[in-house]
Amino acid sequence: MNTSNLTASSVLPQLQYSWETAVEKDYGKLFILPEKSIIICELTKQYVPIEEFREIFSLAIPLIEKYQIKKFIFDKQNLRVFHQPSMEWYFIHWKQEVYKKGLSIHRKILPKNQPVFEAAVAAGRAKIQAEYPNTIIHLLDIKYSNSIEEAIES
Amino acid sequence: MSQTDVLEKEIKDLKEQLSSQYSMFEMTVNHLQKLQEELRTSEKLLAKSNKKLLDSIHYSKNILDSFLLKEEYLQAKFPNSFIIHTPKDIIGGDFAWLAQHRKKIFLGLGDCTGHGVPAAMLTIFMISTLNQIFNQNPDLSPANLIIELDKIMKQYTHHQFIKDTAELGILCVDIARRKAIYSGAKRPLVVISNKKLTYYKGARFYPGNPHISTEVPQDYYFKIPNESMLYLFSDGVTDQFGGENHQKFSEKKLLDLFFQIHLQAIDYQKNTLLEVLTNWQGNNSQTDDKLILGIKF
Repeated sequence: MNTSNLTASSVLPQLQYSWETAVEKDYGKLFILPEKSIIICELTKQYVPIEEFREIFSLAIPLIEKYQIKKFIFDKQNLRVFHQPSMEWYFIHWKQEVYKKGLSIHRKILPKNQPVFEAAVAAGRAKIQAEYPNTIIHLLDIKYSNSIEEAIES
Repeated sequence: MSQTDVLEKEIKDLKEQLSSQYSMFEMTVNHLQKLQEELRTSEKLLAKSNKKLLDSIHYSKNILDSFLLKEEYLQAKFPNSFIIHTPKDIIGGDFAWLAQHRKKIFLGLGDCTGHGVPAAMLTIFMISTLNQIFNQNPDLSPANLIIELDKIMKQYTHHQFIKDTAELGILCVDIARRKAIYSGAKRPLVVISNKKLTYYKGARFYPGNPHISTEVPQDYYFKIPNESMLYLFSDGVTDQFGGENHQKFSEKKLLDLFFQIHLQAIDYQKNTLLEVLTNWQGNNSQTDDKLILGIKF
């Protein structure tokens, strides 16, 4: 099966992992793969407002503690617009907080065939790196993946 | 939540999305502009260092040229002769060398490994060393000249683990007596006369590199026949890729061409060779330095 262009909600039922839906909102979902110590955050809309964005990431924190999560998969495949200050908050504050809880592996999946979005992500990343030179980024294992399966296994 | 609240929230979210989209766009444009500026700066720096390098190479060409045998000087000794010399880059590693002792004229063709700056440096070393050997002992035969060159090269290359070498052919001609001696290290001499082509093969000998030499250069003695043409050439000529099937020009094609033109006037031969080789190369890049020496007796 080609799972290279599918979001977590559609692809997880077809993969051989035990998983559960921990949070389900109209703008996003959190899935737990307990045996793999993985949490997946899938944003289900083209744009997620600031409040909701922070809400779902905040909801993830107790789950990370409860399931002793080691890897966070951020499924951004549905996104077409992002709010840079929210991304900065996620990158600087949220990642630091979950790092203290033992989560240091991050995998990200970008939308397919969206070069403008990709350029914006690169621009956002460069902006964060320029403005926040003393982050914990060097302590984290961060990679982009092409699919949910690849993100789980890499 | 009332319907109004829902609608208000939707409008607020849409406004936020639009504002975020605009910010995202602005941030991306700024980032791309910054990248473009960085690229422009790098481009300027590259152009500056490229110019510095090219100026330096062009200047070194003047020095190299002062060591290389010029066609006028060859023609002063052999009136019916030509040199075709086309280095792959501004400077290269193919060279012609000429020396005279009494009635004997020594003509050499060298092809140093590689091309460009390192080959040019080796060329200057080779020519200087050949001159040094020749000046000390002008009675050496071509094969012994090559062997002496090998000995001196080893003194330098042995300690530095340098594997660079040169293919070399040396012809010694006594014009008055029409006698010649030829010796080659990987380079042949072609003599065409009376519809007969004689090919004096170069030994598998690499001056300065004892690890790959399997033969010792030997002297071939021969009388120079009337109405004959002698040719020396570097492998850059035969190794040039081109033609319809993007193949090497090949030694066979070159020998056939020599055979076809050898009775013609020397200028015609030179022009024909240049034309055929240029057409063969076409739009392909030049594979290596090219050198052909031709002498008509």
